[in-house]
Amino acid sequence: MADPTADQTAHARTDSRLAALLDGYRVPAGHFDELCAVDGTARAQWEALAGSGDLTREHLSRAQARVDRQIHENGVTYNVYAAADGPSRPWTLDVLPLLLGAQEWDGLASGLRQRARLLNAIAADLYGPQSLVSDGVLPAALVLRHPGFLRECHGICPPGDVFLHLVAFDLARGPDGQWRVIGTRTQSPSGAGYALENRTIVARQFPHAYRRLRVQPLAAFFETLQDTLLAGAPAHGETPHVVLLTPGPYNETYFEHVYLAKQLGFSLVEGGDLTVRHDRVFLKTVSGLRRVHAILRRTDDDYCDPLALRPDSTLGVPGLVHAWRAGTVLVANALGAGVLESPGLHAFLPAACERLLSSPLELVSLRTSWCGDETARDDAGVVKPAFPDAAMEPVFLASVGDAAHGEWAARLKADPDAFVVEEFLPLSQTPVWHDDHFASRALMLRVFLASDGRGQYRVMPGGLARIAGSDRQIVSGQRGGGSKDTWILSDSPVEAALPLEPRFIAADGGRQADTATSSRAAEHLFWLGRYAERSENSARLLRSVLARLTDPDELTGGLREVALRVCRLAGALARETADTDSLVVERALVEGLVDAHGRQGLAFNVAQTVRVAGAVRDRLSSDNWRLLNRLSQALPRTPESVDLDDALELLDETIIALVAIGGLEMAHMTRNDGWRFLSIGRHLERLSFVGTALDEVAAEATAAEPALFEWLLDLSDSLITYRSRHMHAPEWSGVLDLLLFDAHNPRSALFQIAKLDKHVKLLPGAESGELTATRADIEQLLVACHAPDSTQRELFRRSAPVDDLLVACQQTAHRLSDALTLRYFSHIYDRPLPVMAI
Amino acid sequence: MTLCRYQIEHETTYAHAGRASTSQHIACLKPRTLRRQTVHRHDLAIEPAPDALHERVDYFGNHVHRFEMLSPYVELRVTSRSLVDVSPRGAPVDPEAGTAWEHVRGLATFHAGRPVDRDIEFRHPSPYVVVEGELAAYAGPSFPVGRPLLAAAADLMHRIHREFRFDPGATTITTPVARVLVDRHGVCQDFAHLMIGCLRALGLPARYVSGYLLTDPPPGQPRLVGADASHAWVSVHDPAFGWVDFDPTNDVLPDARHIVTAWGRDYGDVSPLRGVVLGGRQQRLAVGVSVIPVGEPSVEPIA
Repeated sequence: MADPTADQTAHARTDSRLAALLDGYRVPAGHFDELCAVDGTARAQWEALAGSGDLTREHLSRAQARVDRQIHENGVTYNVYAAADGPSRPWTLDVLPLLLGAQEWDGLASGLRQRARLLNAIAADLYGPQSLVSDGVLPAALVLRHPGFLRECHGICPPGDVFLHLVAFDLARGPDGQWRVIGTRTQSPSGAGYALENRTIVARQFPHAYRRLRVQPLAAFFETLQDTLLAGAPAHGETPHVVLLTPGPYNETYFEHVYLAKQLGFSLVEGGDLTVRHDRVFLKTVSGLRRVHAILRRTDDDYCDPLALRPDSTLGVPGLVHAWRAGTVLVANALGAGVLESPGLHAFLPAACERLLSSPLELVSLRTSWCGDETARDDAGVVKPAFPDAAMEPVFLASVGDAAHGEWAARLKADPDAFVVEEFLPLSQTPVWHDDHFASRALMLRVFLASDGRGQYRVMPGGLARIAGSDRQIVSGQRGGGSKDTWILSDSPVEAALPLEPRFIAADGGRQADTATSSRAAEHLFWLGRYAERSENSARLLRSVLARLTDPDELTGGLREVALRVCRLAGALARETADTDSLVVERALVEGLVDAHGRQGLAFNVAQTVRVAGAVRDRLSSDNWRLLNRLSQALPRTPESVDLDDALELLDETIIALVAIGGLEMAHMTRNDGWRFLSIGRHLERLSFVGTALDEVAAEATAAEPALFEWLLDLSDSLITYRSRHMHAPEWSGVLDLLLFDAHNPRSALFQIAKLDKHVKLLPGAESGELTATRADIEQLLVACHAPDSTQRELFRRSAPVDDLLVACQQTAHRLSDALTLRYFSHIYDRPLPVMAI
Repeated sequence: MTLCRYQIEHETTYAHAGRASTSQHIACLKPRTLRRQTVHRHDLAIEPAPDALHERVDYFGNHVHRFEMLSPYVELRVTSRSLVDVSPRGAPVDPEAGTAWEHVRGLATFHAGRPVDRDIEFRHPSPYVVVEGELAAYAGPSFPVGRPLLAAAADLMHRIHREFRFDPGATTITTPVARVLVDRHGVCQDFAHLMIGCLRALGLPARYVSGYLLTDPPPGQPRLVGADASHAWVSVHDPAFGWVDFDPTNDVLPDARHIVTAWGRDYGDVSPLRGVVLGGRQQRLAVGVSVIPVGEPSVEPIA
């Protein structure tokens, strides 16, 4: 490979702007410095960045703030499993990119491509003739004892002999400046999506430099991956349908699954969304089963099929291995590829490379001894498990005490096959922007390769640079630290000077079939509609009541009775709260406003909205997601510091955000089945709410109270419309007219019923089965609301027919929800039950 | 002793508490054809009829069937019927002959470039045989320096038979080997796993064999259909003799009364019938096995 010092062409002096930032930047002795050469001058690529004029303290501080904000807004989170209920931790991103010169990168890329081809060839051997094992090239124990060697998958020949469609390597640079492979990811590598996300954020911060330095763009890499999967999918003339299989929203890299699915134009699915019939894989959609031709999986090998692999997996697809064996579906990467991840293999790759590729291994690995090889004992390095089922932290033999050292020596002797000893590698140091100056941090670089489907690999020109926390040598997403964009500079002009905006690649060529609405996505969208609407109802209710509490004379009499009753029904007020003291009521309402866990008040509904939205992130625009992010941040966590004025302000903000979210749904979402379920959720909830509120007012037996009617109109956002039509104070008949019978008021019951009637009729398969009865209910209600003319409506006042109608509105909403669940959602809850007989 | 012909019936019934909507199953029920064992007929009857049924040979050379049920059902019955000939060994195994156990262990050690025998596969821990605890210590007394492997294995088998109690209710299939070693009781699967674990703890290859055993009805009583169960034992690899079977449950070297269905690293590789059911709630399982020597009169069905 290229001499890494080649980029350090002699510079008499470091650029003065850069030099000004280097005050206080120190790299500890014994580490390679990514920024400065041994003589203290900055490396060429850093000079070039400085020369662009973007490298000033002011610019970097502003840019870092923008990066932080952008990350926050995009909701790029790294949810470690343990903190599933806790606040999601933002993925930190340093504004300074990692800079690598073209010459150095080209040498590295060649070695990476060879290594990817080698690993693919090893996979083909292990799941075929196994000559590497029987001829003693690879130790039998490293393969046959590895829990990732899946015997159920032996003998399967994937299309084009491609076992590894996407490979990642973790690289680190030692004190000598040479890159080494320190880790291999072959099951379902994570990070490529984060690398792309980092690029779109960071490149924007250095518009001049990005152009001048000719940074190589990333888009072509993703196109290769996409092309390989589409071309390799055994669709036999049909339009290939490719899905991205995710373990679900609780996975630590779920954001990336969503992001990649969007970028690649693949449907995002969970195991329960897929089913195998007659050795073919199908997606359960609201319009029936839809054939799947290729699966890009983010689920670990052994979790992919509870029938053939782990019976306790609830994340997989029963029968997937058999469908794959039958050749009806492409699985990327091949199941069983995890066996290639063992660090024990490092020492045997040179021999395997000579054997399989007839050439020497170009790129070195971190020096690693597998303890099962008696010729290669090492007792001074870092002990790690050779197999992933041993959960242990790395042990630094040099720094444990004598007793522990003896203990470890005995453990290694007792079961040598299970351990490797790695050399301790002081990691190279890279500058990060920290407290308005350059600080140095340990660096690791994850790089990605995609198969072209014909035996070669394409390297992503860049990668996910990962940096350790300030006091650590270990770089890990699960131990804090952060990431960087990686810029590979080019000697020649690059295809595009600026990064492409995230785009739906599939949309342009139409090669991938339209994404169908899976049953699970439909259900989440339905509940997104319901919770978003409930949140808005809660907020309007709270605002209408709290605003009237500011004046001691306002919330009295019948109004007080009804308003507090509706608050209780809506979960805004605990049932046991005494309602005689306005101060007590006020505090109870404010507490309900911020309590996300207890009763089903505003904070609860907002939290649920954000939760279900998270499960269908692939269907929401980034603007929509930003609004949801703002919404979830708006409400404080404790009520103590919130007084009445604060509460009203919070409610105004919340209502504006919710209205904006609703507006985005109308303005930007494609009118497909998914949108229809979302809309049904909203209209159903609004119908139920307006029905309940009218019912409660109608039940208040006291004489007409203008204040009560006015409150009801305020609650229903119809006060202005009413005033524009009537010059006098609100009366019951006018209120009923506007909130129940008006086909043009988007808040009226009739409006919701008409919409529900229209949407439900358009649902796939709605003409039969469970929906028939509910459709009849809706039609009947529609007729009933249309019937009365204005004179008859007068007669409805306080009459039985109106009460019946209001009850029918609420009941129809409930029945429709049940019917939709039964017809479209219930089968996704069939939990796989493993059975076993002796 | 001459050729023995057996008619074997193995019936499994899952009765679900609710309707199962779909399910998929893997059956490992068809006996293997071996040097001393011929399978004349095998038939797998599934009720209700499956929507798809495939047979293939797995990684270990076993015959496995896979079937899909795509229509709802409450009860599933799988009946495997075989007609098998087993011929007895020509000469009895002499456990004192053969290779010293340390030598067999040495064959498994890795040396770069030295070809290895594939039987080495069975020397490693596997999901149901986690090699931990006191397994090596328990095996120790049977393995003095220089003892032939088969003699040592026979001694280990005697000790397990003597020191462990057969107790059908005491364990489940997921009871770890280390637990069985402490509690000193179990069933044939447990004893097979235990013996395999002891051998692997010493670095020796051992595999799990599933199959059937001809049992004798109580004196003076007729044989009952379905009264038996499937059986499991152990096979040990000696480079001089090949694989030699040991049955720690009955303290015998299997001969013409044992019928081999399949082998693997442990129970998990060869479980007779396993599956994944969607929609069905907890099931009730019933298994009945009959091994009937062909030509034997008066067989009565079990009540």
